[in-house]
Amino acid sequence: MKKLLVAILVIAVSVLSPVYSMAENISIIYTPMASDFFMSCSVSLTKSGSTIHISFRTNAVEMMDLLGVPNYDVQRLVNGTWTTVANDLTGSIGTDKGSYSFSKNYTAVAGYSYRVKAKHYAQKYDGSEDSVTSTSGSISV
Amino acid sequence: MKPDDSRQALEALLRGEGMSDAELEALVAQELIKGDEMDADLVAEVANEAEGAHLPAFDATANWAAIEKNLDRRKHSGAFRRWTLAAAAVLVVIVFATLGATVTDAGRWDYLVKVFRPIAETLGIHVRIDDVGSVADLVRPDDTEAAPSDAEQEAKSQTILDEHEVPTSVRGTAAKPSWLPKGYTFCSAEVYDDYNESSITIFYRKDSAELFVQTVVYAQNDELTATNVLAKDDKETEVAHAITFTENNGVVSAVHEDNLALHMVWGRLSREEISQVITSIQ
Repeated sequence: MKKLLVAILVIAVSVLSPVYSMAENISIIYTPMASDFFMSCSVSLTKSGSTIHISFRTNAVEMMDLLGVPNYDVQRLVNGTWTTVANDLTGSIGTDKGSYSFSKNYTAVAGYSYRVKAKHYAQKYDGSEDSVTSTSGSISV
Repeated sequence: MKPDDSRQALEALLRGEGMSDAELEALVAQELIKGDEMDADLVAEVANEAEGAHLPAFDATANWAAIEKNLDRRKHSGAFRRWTLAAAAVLVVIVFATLGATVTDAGRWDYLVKVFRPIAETLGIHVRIDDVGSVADLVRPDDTEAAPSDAEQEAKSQTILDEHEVPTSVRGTAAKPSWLPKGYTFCSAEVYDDYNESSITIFYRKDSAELFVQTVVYAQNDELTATNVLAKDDKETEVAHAITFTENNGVVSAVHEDNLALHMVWGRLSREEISQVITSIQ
């Protein structure tokens, strides 16, 4: 009887307990681009539960009047196709920046993979402007 | 029924001619000892059954054998019933705990799905999550999914204008260069920290020329996915001593990646100067 109870409790604890593990598969991807405005752009994703933490970073070649990500899309992988599930979400833009970072949270539906497409925007002091799009790696929720 | 009553019932059942009081006492005592704690109700049931079955009234041995047989059957049946009840109780606790965890944290359900789906697939039970959704779908309608929230409470961003107040490291990783090209002076620094990464970007200037020194340290998270899109001119890319140099319309950049830390230096300077700056970050 005791053995059965112990076995059931062990199974219950293992199922109900969250899993913690050390970093094993961190993936930092670099994609080249050429621009008179942007030095680098990045979108990083992590998750906790069904919440996706999104970090945006935009580096400009020089100080910019406006710099950041005005909007972004969240995409979900459905039957092998990336489908936009949240379109034109509001990002953030800083002024007088050579580098600008901010973060957002997104509550996802479990059982899917997600990625984020961000539109990075820069405007120089002379009014000229440019934008590029970066896409994050995917994360399973 | 109390033990004393059980004893009396047994005595009544076993009493007969040809069995002495001492033998009767011995049989009863044997049963009382054998079972450690005699199940009074069980004995009463067996006694009633034996009486109803018209067991030979005076054959104490046969009576006792019949009673023992029934006792064993009842004991096994009772033990099985107790095991079943205990298992059911534990199962109910697990189900309720799981449902509770699911309602409060859909991630637990997701974990269950992840754990049991491969098992189900192995057994040939194919469950399409797309079709059935998940508890997260049930407790959180799909239309509320597209509800992004600012992570401002988690993210901290600070502009520092006094060079002496600029932290020298980010999460233990050095962030300030000890060498700068001649004439460049500190202008400002941005210290940023959020769930995924922490960084310090230091901005130096010499007249209209600008120099940026950035250190990013990613959080140690096994699910982290970070994508950096680097500006570069393909023809000018060069990797030397684990430092990647790029040139983009006169702006030279150097990137040095070390596990979770990333150093990036860029400005309209020569490759040698940029190299000296990034290698002086220690």
